[in-house]
Amino acid sequence: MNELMSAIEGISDKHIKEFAFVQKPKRKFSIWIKFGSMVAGFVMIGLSIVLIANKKGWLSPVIEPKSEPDYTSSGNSSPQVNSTENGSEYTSSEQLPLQTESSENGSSDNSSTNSSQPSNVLPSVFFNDVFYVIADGYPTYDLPEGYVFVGEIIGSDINGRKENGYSSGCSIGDKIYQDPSNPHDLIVNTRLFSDNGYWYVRFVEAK
Amino acid sequence: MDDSRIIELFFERSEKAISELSSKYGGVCMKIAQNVLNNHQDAEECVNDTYLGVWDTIPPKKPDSLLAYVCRLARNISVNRYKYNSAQKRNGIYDVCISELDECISSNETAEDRFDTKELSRYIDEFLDTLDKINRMLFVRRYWYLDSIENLASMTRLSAGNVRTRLSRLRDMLKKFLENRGVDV
Repeated sequence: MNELMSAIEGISDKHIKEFAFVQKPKRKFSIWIKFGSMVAGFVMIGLSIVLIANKKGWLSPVIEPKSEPDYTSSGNSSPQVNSTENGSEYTSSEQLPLQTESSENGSSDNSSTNSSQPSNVLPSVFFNDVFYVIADGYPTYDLPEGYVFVGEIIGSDINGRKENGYSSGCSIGDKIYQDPSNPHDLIVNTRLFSDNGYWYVRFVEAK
Repeated sequence: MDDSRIIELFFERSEKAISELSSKYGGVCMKIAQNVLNNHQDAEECVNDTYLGVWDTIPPKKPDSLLAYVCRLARNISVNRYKYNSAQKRNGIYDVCISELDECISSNETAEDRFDTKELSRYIDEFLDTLDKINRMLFVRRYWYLDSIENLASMTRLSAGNVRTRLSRLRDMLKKFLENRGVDV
């Protein structure tokens, strides 16, 4: 018989006991495979939700401009410019950005430059050294014929008359249009009083 | 049940000693016998003979490690049974292991050339202490417990080829180790 085999039979008890009961080693990466699978599952679910939401437009809603209001219907949503008893003007159907105030002497002269008088907070534009205030009537979504681009709003002032190009109510960058044959009014393409985007608001020379 | 308590039962000549021994180490003994004999009926008989051997030898013997003592008995009884069953055949795991170990050391018939087996066992213990756990397990399970290559592969989650390669390297390492100790290989 092989001498070595005989010798191996006589090895110490500690080596025999050490491997009498052998357990299979656990897979090294099993926990990581489970963890990775879970993460991959959540990522797939998240991506699916994002794709579905994007397809249905829930993620980035686009505000579509409303169609031109129907002037003949009684319940139109465009702002109507009304006059108060003292002649100052205000809009009634929309939320006003500012409240109207009557002047101390009852004058409706909005072009007054007297600094001691209360400020005129009605929407206005100062352009070519002329002070224009918001006109009666309804804004439109189309530029009337004959009006051409003449400039932009360059600043905002509560009185609207700080310098040419300044406005009370309109935003910086809003475009100004005017009929060259009629310098007494102008039209501004603005979001003033609009819920749905830009429209054309008319201003008239203040008297 | 604790090993010391089981040994006490043997000393008390209680029959419960055999049942406790069987429930605790019966599986290991059966595994060793199956590895050697590859026959369930023969293996069962060898395991029963092992219990009888323990009953007959404890007392007076009081082994330090009951597990190692029972395993040695089971192995010796199984190997003797194997030699009895297959005197002419050479295809069991036991013979395969012997042929593998022939690479490390030659068998010598003469008394003058016979190695001191106890000293060789001590060298092998030292060799096993130099190995890492996996390699030590492969060596002991292959050449002491006589496990098949497939069993070793499933125990270690290695491939069968990998196990064969590792065992071959271990035999080379053992050969060099014995040469360094002055054992004439």
